[in-house]
Amino acid sequence: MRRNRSVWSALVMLLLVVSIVAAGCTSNNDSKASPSSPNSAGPSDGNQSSSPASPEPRVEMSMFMGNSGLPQPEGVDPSDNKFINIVEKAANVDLKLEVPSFADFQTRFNLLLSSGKLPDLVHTWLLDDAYKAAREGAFLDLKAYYDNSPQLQKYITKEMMEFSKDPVTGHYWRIPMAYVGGPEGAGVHMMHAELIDELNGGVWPASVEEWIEFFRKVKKAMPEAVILSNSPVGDMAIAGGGAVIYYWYGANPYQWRIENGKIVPNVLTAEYKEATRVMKQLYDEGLLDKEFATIDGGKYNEKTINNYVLLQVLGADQLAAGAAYYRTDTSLPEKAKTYKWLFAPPLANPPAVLKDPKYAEPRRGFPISLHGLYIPASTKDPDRAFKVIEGFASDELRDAIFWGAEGEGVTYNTVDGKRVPTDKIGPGTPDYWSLHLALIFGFVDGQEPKMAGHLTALGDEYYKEVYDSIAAIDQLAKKNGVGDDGQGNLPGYSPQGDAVLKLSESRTEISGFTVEAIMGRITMEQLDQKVKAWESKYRDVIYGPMQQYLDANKDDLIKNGVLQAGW
Amino acid sequence: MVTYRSTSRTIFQIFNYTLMILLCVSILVPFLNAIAISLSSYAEVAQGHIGIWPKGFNVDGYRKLMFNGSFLRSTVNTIGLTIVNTALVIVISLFAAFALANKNMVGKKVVLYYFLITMFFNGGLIPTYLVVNTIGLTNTYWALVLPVISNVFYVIVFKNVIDQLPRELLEAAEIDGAGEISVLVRIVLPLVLPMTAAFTIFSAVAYWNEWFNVMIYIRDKELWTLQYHLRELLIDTISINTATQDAMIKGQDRIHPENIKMAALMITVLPIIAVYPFVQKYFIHGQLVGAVKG
Amino acid sequence: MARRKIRFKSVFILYMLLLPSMLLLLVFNYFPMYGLIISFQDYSVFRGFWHSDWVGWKHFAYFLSDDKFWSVMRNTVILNVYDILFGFTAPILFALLVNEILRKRVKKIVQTISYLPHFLSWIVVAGLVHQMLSPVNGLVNEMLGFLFGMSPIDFMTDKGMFRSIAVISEIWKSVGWSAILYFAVIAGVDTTLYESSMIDGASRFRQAIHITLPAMVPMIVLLFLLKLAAIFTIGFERVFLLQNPLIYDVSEVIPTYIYRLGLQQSQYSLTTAIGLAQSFIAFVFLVGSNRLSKRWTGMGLY
Repeated sequence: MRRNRSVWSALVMLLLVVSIVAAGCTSNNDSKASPSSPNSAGPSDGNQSSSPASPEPRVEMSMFMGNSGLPQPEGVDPSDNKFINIVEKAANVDLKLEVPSFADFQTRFNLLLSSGKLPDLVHTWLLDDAYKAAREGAFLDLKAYYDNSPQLQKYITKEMMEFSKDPVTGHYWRIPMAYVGGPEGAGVHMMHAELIDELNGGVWPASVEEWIEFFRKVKKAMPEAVILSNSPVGDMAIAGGGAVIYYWYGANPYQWRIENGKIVPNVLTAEYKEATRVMKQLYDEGLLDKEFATIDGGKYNEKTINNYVLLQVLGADQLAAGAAYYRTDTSLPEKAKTYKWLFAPPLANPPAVLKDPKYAEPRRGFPISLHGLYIPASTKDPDRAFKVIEGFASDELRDAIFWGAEGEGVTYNTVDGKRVPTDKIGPGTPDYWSLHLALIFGFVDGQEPKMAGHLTALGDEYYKEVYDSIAAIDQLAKKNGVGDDGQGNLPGYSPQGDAVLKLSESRTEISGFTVEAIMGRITMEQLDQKVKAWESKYRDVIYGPMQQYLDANKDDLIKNGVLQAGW
Repeated sequence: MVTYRSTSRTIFQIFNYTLMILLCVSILVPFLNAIAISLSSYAEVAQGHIGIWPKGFNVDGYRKLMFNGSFLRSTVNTIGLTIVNTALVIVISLFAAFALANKNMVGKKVVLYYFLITMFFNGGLIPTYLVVNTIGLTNTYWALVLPVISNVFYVIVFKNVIDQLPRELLEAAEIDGAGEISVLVRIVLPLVLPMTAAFTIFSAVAYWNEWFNVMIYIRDKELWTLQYHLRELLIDTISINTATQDAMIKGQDRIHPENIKMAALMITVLPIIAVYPFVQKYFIHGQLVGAVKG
Repeated sequence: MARRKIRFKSVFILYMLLLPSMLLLLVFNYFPMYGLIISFQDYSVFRGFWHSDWVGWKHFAYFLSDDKFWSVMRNTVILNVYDILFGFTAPILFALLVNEILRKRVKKIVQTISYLPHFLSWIVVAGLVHQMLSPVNGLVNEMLGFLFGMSPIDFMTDKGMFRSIAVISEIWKSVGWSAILYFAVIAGVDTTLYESSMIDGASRFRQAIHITLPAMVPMIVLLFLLKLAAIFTIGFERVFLLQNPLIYDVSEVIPTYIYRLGLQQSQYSLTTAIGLAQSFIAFVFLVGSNRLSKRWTGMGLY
């Protein structure tokens, strides 16, 4: 039909024209916006555009940074705001930041590396990718810079730099992010300590058997209570709530221990077998969530809020904030305000099968995180780039992030010589995003304002109970030295080749037979067989190289605080 | 006209309707639940007690997603891109299919393999990115158009449909002295209309939901698509709310991630549902035979 | 038959029609194909394609000799077979059944509702599945208990049930949307065929079998061949979200296997090698099965 044809062709022509015009209009949009010095149009400190007194001219530098999951709110320019301006002022640099969203960060980082055009500074937490590129010449060794920077050494100790060394080439590719300041170690977190008072006469159970008795008591009094649940994470089917029993036996299925200088994967220990047997018993009795193997994070949260899940393994630095949240948050049901969150005291009578109580005790966390600041080799002015890194370590920035940029009278008040934060600072306030700029200090820094905030939320008495229980864990952790590097490896050891490729498989298999045994799908004898099969397949591949590393570096490790290397 | 009302027919109808009802209910219930969640308050969603009716009615989720600068821009972008891309992919695929189905075509096999190979072999994300980058399309609208308007599947299907058309029709036009283009537009096109309608809706939906290319190629907020914008907000909300217990937002402004997720879903789906009936009429006919009048 | 004249003017026009797609494919598909060479390298993102070390068949040797890989491949194929047996036929049946709905209004409404789940992400759908099948208070177990007094069954951790669960949830999610293609085919059927068959006294059932279904066959064959060629590939999200450690033996498929390999470091070369092998086999499959199909049924992909 004639009409159809002309209508169609007209439409097509129109659309082609529109698309051409549209594309043409936008080709004026350069990916690099015009480089102008940031003006003081916004609420920032005034001085940068006119600094006639500075001897060096202001330089422009580009930086690729991640927001670590805390994005700037709408309206805040990452390259021009009161926080980044502190860094800029310190280094006398105009910083142009590219900050992709958290979920896209890995892809964008890899695309950046592949394009070969790196900016002047890079921040990333993708350690393996960054180090690999560094070995091929992407980044500079920063040791010399570090040695000459007292400001940086204030927050990054020599041990931290040692831990961040590249195990393959010995270079120092990054300035790492510190991860200290908070309480250390992990403990068994009791989410309903009020029940200890109500049902147990205020007496904490002192052994695994006593805890199980207590579980039965609770279940009798509240039949719908879940008691013990689990939060599977990736390949690890036992984590969080499910890891409690294993914690007491010192036999987390995915971890390892050092006995007489030998690395022993926990699944091979008698403690693991006994712990699994206990889990099975709990499952049969109905004291372990029947859907522990398939539950997801959302459902687990729901159960903790509503259904009396009693215990989980938790990092020591997480307890106080959580307790404060439960006391103050308006979205939780009223009864949540009656919950008491404390760390269960370490068992006075550890299980008999436990060879040495220290295996069930917490260990210190790794003092650095995966984050780091890197200077690409292609940077035209590396000295200046390093000044930017020093800017990130400036005391002024630290104060602004943790005590607020407005300061006295707005975000905190000084009472009797001590600072007390107001409610204008902390999670939920408009400036909270600035925490992601704590690339040197670390996200767990700023304990003082946090603790002061907790005091207000919890009240004196509860606050003391909470912090006392934390102190017990912290003490033990410090006594036992650094555990692993946060990735499940000995600090400074970096697995290569098959040890990496097979890791996920190995964990999956461990998850498989552990869960099967707990649910009674296989007998304990079958479990033994499966563990043996696992050993023959994976032990040497994954732990062999780490053992070699341990043998070669034992003394250095102990010197750097990894005391368990001497066990 | 004899109507067939045998018992087997009636039984079948009962069975069919029951099946359809079951299916529709099983679909509607979760959807109504999703709508309800998107319109409920934080506390109610956190408690997890929402059924198919909102509790604590509020539109905060929608407000957060829609009432900000980039929403309007990304919506306009997406509408434009959807229209342009859908039109282009249909036209280009139809052209190619017609050429391949034409009896005058030479080298058909080679060209076919040329197309087919791309269906199976792909260089991967990084090379594609580098190619686009080298040509200089990064951060332009072109990057959101050109790489996505080839669809070999459409070409193959269109070609097959055209192959099935009765030869006499095409030959008659040829005898009348019509050129290739003429045949394409006046004869083939009307006959492949149902398939075109189906592919139009497929493409439109796909382009409407596009965000991946924005993530890779685009730096400027001006060029964002709707889905990408929603995704950004969604991820941010989730990371804020679940990162650590520490990072809980206080006060009235808090919005639950589920709320936002569902609101985003609705913003995405409702336009499609709104537009769909216009395309639907091209391939849902009433059947003449046995049809109840009206 | 007389030798065909090559009509240059026509051929020229035809190639002009082909030009846009061929050009686009050249730039955005063929140019980037050099990326496949990383299957033979130890690719480093920074070094790039031209400077990474060559390792020949090392990656292929790795996964071909990995026991895990073969069991994973077996799972992939089996799940695909299930998908073809049930998931492929479901939209066909669905289209035919919906076609039997006599009231046009109802037909349209049913069809519209049926495609809604296509827009739900697998995260949502898997969540629904978990919810429904939960041994603690999932709907299915509640009903089983109520109707038959059965104690709760843990569906999700049962090895035998995984494939059924995966296939059924896929059907629920996609049957409406996949059927659209068939609706389009049905709509293109010449209505005079139905009229004349009615005069001959054919029931609707016979019409469906002898008119509607045959009209769908070319599309069915086409889609079937494509599905067959993809027998070594399968969607990542559905399986990943429905898995759990108790059923890895039956549920681990190629993309989840690859995902686990890539967890610690970006294993670009290895995953590309696996992808290349998959592509190659799929392509060979397609050409082969297309040839067979043409010989047996006269119909094919091309």
